[in-house]
Amino acid sequence: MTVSTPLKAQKRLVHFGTYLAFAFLLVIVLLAVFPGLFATFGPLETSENVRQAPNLEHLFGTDASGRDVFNRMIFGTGASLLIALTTVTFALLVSLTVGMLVSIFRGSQKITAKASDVLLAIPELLLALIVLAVLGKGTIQVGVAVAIAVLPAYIRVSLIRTREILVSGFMVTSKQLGVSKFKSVFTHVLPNLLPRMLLMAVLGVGTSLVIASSLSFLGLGVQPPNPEWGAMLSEGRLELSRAWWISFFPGLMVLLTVLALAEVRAWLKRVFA
Amino acid sequence: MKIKFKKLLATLIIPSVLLVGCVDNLQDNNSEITWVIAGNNLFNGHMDPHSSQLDASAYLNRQIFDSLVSVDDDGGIKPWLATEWSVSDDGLSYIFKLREDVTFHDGEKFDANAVKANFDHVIAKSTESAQAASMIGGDSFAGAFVLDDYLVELKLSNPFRPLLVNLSSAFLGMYSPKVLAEKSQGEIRAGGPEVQVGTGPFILRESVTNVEMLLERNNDYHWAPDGSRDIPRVNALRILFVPDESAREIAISRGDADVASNLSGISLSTLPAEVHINKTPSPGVPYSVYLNTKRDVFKDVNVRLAFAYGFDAKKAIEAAFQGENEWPLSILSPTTAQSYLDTAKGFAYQPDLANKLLDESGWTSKDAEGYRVDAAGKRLTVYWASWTPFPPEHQVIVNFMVDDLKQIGIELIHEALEPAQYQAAYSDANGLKLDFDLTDWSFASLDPIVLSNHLASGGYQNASAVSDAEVDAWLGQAAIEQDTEKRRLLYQKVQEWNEANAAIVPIYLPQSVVAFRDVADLSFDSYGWPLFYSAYLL
Repeated sequence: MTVSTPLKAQKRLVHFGTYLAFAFLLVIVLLAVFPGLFATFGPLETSENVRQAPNLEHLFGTDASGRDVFNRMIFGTGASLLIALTTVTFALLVSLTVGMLVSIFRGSQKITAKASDVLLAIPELLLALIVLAVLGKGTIQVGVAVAIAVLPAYIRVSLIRTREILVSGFMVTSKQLGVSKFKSVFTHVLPNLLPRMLLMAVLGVGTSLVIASSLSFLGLGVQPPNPEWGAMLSEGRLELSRAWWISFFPGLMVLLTVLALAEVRAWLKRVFA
Repeated sequence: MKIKFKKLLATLIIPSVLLVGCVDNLQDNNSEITWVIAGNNLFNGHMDPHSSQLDASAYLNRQIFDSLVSVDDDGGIKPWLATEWSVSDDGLSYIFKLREDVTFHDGEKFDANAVKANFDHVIAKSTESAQAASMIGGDSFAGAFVLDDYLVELKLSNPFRPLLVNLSSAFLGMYSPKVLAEKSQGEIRAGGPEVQVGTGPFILRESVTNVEMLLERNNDYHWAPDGSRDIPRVNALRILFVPDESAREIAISRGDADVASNLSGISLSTLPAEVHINKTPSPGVPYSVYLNTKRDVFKDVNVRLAFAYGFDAKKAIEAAFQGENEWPLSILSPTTAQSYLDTAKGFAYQPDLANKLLDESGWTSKDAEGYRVDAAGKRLTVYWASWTPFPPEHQVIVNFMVDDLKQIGIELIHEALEPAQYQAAYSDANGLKLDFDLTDWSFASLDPIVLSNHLASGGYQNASAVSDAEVDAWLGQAAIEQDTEKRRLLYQKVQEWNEANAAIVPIYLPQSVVAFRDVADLSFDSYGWPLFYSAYLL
């Protein structure tokens, strides 16, 4: 059975969910940039009130060291988002540059595609782990590892889109009119490549966030006692039978952030479609 | 009616006989006890009890290797592979008469030559013994000499008081001389079925790195330390290596394991009623941090004392262990022989005193984050290196320490390094390197001699880098002192010195916690480590 969507709804660009997603992401950004505005306890502040269930004083409860989970989550937002945003920005810039270069040096398309295919054959998390095996653990190392892990996919999409642009009618016309390759990169290739890559980057923030959190969960990223969502999930993993809230709320934040980013991407797709 | 009665009888008796037969068969022939342990780092060259200092190496190998003597519950020395012994008046000669009916798992005969080969191995330079050599007196050990087929003499150049007690340890278990003659030290460290060959109740048959070991009953075993002549009652002992405590907790809770070691207090509250617990306070050095007295800010005794008084260890261990472990007053556990310092006050939390000490040392300015800085603006930071896996309870303690020390302006940075990284930071070819401000461990020992390893110049576990002539003299004298009270007073001086110098800061008294279910007659040694030779499944 198929359900047809009303034409009116199909045309709507902004859904209620889009507003919710933007509002949520705005809150996340505020938490990341100004954690002190929302925090009532320090992220490292311990107390004898260990493993307290969520209550009015500790909205998300306390962990095994009596630290407030809500406040640690707030302070962890910055680290989690910073890794995700930095890696995506890096991947975006590199993939755009690669797209522009292959449109000038067209002979390099095949070899670049093959190289990215080889790296794409390795799952992102595995690739990140391989990089970390060389670099060692730590926040910066995780940032580099995630950036390298997600990069092949960005380059592949960039190459496909660049190839589409290069064979398109306006590029053929531009060539016939004698516009130089260098100039056409900025007038035709980049403006048509950028929206596609931006779309990918928006959802990519979520992917990077999940990979970075997974690596921190494995103890390879942000080191205790500093807070980060993945690291907090890991800390609570041993306490699941006694204090579910230690892992639940950081996990929920990762989930909601990824969902919000997916909704924003869907909105962008509707706008650019 | 008569026939019917016979039928009824047959109906009742035959299945009962079969059932009993099955149970008996299970108990005596097919039964297998599964023992789950942490076993961290064992497969990184710690399978040789003569060279390793890890507790896990001792309690695992205890099932395979026997010792010359044993210690009973009251601390008395009992015969084991040696039936009797005599000590010369000057304390420099120990003569042991050996059992004549003992064979190794590979069929080799246990005799005076085998004992000599073992002590030769312990003191061989290539063995690089971290623990066993010091347990027989280190440089004071003059060698083992064969007097007769079953008579062996251990000679010392200086009296070494704890020798007999130490000979009961699994660190001084007896290897087959064939292994020691034919295998390289690298192979012996790595262990395995052809290498870990002793006279013990179980024979190592299979070993899968970091996963499991399968030990089979030694059917010739009739020289148990309790004097029983019975062979072990279970057919096999399967040892599973599970570093994650919650996984060990789940294994014993669900019945996937029959015995679980290395559990902490927090696990105990959630174990089902059918799981029994054996808790034994560990003798020796409590879980402590070792402040590197030769490095950076900890060269200053005031900073070390401020650190020691600057965190509330009681609060931290209450949170970490939920009241299951106690706070130590001294650097020797109260269960260590003769040695507890009754008058010790310990490093009780005194933030005002800590602040005063830091002010006196010139750390008077603070940066924007509240940490103390010196005149050049350098922050008062101390770096603590541990090794992975770092237990979550210890992480809770670190969290409390980070928070408390921040209040007095000390930044504590803790890092759990991979074992190889840690080893590289700890020592190199030139000896101890100690590339950190502090590190941590506990060290089980029945005798206070363990302080020599930790505080004497050149001690192989002197992570505090102490080199103090007075301390060396006290420890040296205590090692040879025959008078118990005089010896106790010497160790008291060492402990008082530590109170004034904060080289070692004790944090909690560890205990050996073993959980078991459906297992009977499991026995425990003086360290609280399980012995399986008499155990059987219910």
